Amino acid sequence: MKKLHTTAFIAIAVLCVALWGCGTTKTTTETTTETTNSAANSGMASANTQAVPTGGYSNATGSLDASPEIGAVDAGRHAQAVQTAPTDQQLTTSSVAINNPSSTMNNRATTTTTTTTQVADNSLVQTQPITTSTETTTVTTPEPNIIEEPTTTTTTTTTDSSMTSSSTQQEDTTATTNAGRERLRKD
Amino acid sequence: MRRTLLLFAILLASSAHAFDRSDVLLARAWPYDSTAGVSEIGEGVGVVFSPDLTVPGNCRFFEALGFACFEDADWSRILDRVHTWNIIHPGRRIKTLVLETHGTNGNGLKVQKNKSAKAERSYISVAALQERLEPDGIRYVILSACNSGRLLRPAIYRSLDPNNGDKLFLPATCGIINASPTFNARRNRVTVITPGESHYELTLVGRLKELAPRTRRAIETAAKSRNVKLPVKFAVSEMLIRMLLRDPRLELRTGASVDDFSKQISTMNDSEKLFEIFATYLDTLVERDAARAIEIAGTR
Repeated sequence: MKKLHTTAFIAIAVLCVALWGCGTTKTTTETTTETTNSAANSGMASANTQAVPTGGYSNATGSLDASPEIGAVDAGRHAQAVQTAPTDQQLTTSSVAINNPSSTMNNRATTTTTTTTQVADNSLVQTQPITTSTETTTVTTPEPNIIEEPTTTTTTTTTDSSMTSSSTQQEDTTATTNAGRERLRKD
Repeated sequence: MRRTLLLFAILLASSAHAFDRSDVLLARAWPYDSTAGVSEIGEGVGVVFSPDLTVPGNCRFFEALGFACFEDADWSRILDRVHTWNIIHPGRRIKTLVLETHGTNGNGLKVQKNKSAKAERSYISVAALQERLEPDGIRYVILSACNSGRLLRPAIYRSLDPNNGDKLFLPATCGIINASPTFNARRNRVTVITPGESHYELTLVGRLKELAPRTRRAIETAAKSRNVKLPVKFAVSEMLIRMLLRDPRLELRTGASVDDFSKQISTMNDSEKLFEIFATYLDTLVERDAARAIEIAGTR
């Protein structure tokens, strides 16, 4: 009877050790995968140039569903990136390794600020109609910090009626309009 | 019970609609700060210029306004500079990047010195941008490029097609950057925002002299505080102006690609009016700062 108990105890112990061993192996595998993904996601230029896509197309623009403000944050790979603002130590580490982006990705964690409250402040600056008055004058304007010779120009003054209450220097309200404005087309 | 369910459904639908609204998108990408002075309006925002869509020294003007500014014909260098900026400026990190670049008729984001075939030029796909910018802390990319909605087409979203037959797709003398095979769009946290209507975008060139002297002095002071010298001219896109003004006519969207190509472009008159409002906006900011300073001095 005693021998049976001993055998059963040994069997259970072996089983426990075997199960613990499996768990350790699994954890190690996950860690390895994590490291590989982090490095790949850093997007080194040499690996990216003319790369052939293998995955399918999905959620092309990282839509709002994926936005951290809404809370759809991947619990695995990006968990480190959404926790806290970088500490001094982390920033120092990043500064040292500027030329090695892949090794610093997780150290450059950022603070994600919620802008929900600021939506209420989203006032439209130019929604109110602006009443303007026009006045033509001739002035000579020296500009010490601008790379240009002082020139005599004919100027047109545009005064915003909403600003007159806070205006204190009338001689400062000159500006030049440019009728034939250069436009650069993004084609 | 039915009424409760109906009410819940209506609330859910309205909240879903709110996520797509342009003003909400913009408020997330570029929160409006009512206390920001003229030297702070670009805080947290970076602007990328293609060298042929700007004027000499333009970045110095934007830096004076608080933006981070990058001008280059090589996307690799631009991405490296964004990466470095967010490391060495922990207090002024960029969260949003506005791309003032070419869209190559919706066939690829292009930066170039000029239109010569041998000029420095490079391309990048939208997915590659998301992949490269995410580790740097960028969360929003606003495309102010030609037919930018077409850049999200599944066929070129991850990997550009250099043999698309478009005459504007000139030789990539500085390379093409595509997303890596391991890129997963679902896991990426960079939101790409495009104009509601896909068409030609414009950049307007203005002179500092067009601004009121008080505004010029305020910008000069801001430039000096950042050790930059202001240029004579500056270039600012219509889309950037509309975003700054929180123009209610500006439509933004995310997550939708467009197939059709559009040659629609704003009229000269509209451009001129928009520029005048931009100048007035800067003047207003300076006037407000001055009034605030007087008020503070009066209370002492």
